[in-house]
Amino acid sequence: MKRVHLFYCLIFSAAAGILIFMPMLSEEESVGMWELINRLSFYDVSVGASIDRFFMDLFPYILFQLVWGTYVYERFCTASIYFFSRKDNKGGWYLGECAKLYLWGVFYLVCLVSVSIAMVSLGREITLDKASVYIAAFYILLYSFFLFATALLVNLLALRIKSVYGFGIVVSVELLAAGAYEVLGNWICLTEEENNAVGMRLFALKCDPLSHLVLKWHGSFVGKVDGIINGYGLSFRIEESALAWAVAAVVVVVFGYAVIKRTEFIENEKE
Amino acid sequence: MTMNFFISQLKLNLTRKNAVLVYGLILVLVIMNYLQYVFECSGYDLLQMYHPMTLGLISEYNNNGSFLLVLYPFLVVLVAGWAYFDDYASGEELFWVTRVGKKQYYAGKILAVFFAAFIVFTVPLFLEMALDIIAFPAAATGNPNFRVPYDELYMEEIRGYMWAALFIKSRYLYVVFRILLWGVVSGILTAFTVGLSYLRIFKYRVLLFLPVYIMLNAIFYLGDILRLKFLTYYGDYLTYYDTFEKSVPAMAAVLLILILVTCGMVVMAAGKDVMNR
Repeated sequence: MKRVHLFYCLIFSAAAGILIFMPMLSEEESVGMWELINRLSFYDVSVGASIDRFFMDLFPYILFQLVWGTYVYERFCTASIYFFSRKDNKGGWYLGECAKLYLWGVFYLVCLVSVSIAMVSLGREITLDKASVYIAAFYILLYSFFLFATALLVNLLALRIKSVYGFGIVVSVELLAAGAYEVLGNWICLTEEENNAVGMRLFALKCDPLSHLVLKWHGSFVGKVDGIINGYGLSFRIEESALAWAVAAVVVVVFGYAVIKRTEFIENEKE
Repeated sequence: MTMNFFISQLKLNLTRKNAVLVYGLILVLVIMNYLQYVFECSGYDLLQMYHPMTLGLISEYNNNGSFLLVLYPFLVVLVAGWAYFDDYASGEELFWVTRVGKKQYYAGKILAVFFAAFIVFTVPLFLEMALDIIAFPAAATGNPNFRVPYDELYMEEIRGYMWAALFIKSRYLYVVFRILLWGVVSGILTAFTVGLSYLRIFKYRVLLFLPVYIMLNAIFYLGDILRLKFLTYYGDYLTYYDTFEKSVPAMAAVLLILILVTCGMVVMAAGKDVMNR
């Protein structure tokens, strides 16, 4: 465990939690726990909306991608020759680092949720039921795969290009994914009153990787949970989304395995 | 000698790959925006046409600008934020400090970075302004929301602009002023980043993205938390023709604090021992 990462983890989750949840304290009635999770997962975006809204809500996750974007890569910078001359199993080492990175993602999300609960409970009562716990668990599962896949990709691209460009590429892809909603907005109408996202349209919505992170568009296989979150009545399950991002994470890990195998370890030209 | 140093640094910053990249990106957006209006307005009568000064990339009326604004916190760092980082890594810092002196080196570097960012961010927009003036009739009135001049609602909207008096005096001067302001803000943010890198708290280049990004987001959320009556999203202050309530003193205060902090960091850096790496 690295102290600097623990420091960043606590500071960022506390800062993001306070900034995002402070406005919730202005009201007084009790609030369901799932609403806190909803706030953390793009609660006010809509199809066709301008991309700055998406980017504002990505704030806590971009912080993670920035800081953990050097997590595996940093081994290749300072004293890399010393470090790698003592590691005979490259693949095993890489998979170990992946596991640690994933656990950091889970820890970061748990911190974020804890801070949000602590923050809101200062002024309002939080009601807790089984469905809320289910949603919180799936939020952590889904977003941990998302954070892990993107942060690992930043690391791998940093290895091949440079730390800055690795991050730049990942953020650009996220920007394009958010920009796609402006185009989709001409075709898909998704509001509380009107909803035409079925068939091809729903498929197009699902093709955007960011859609899988928007909790309010999701339903669930569990009836009780579905009744709470599925305001739009889409057949877009949170369990499927978690699976989709898990598959993406596995693809990145496999890609990274190939990259690490091909990277010359005794090389000292990095930052 | 100091002047030579400043000019060489400015040249270096402007010819860096990252600066060219940012310049190219803004230029591409400018051209896209220009072509979009050319196609949209072809065949319009003069009465339907928009005034050329309403078509700018960072004006409120078009979507291409929002791409730029979303990327803005990263672009201001990308343009020259690693100017000192590179010097430190290659040992060039020592070379310059022994030639021009510590204070001159750190202050000159900040100034060079400021002007580099200023040029990169403003030149494409001035080019666009020139293109718009050449291609669209100056006699046209109205904007993409209102086509009827002297409409009561339109006049109401104009009164809501930031620095509306200048707009009423001359639209051209207003746009020039807003582009210059955009350049100055970008320059200050870039200089602030370089000032932070003097303290060497960030080990990796990519982490230098953090300060500006966190600051701009935190200011946005602060507006929500303190329930301020004016907008606090940076994009609303950088674009023009937006009519929502904004606070000029708040903006000036933030910029002033940034300038003071940057100056403070220059003084701190100048007090450090350069040989102690």
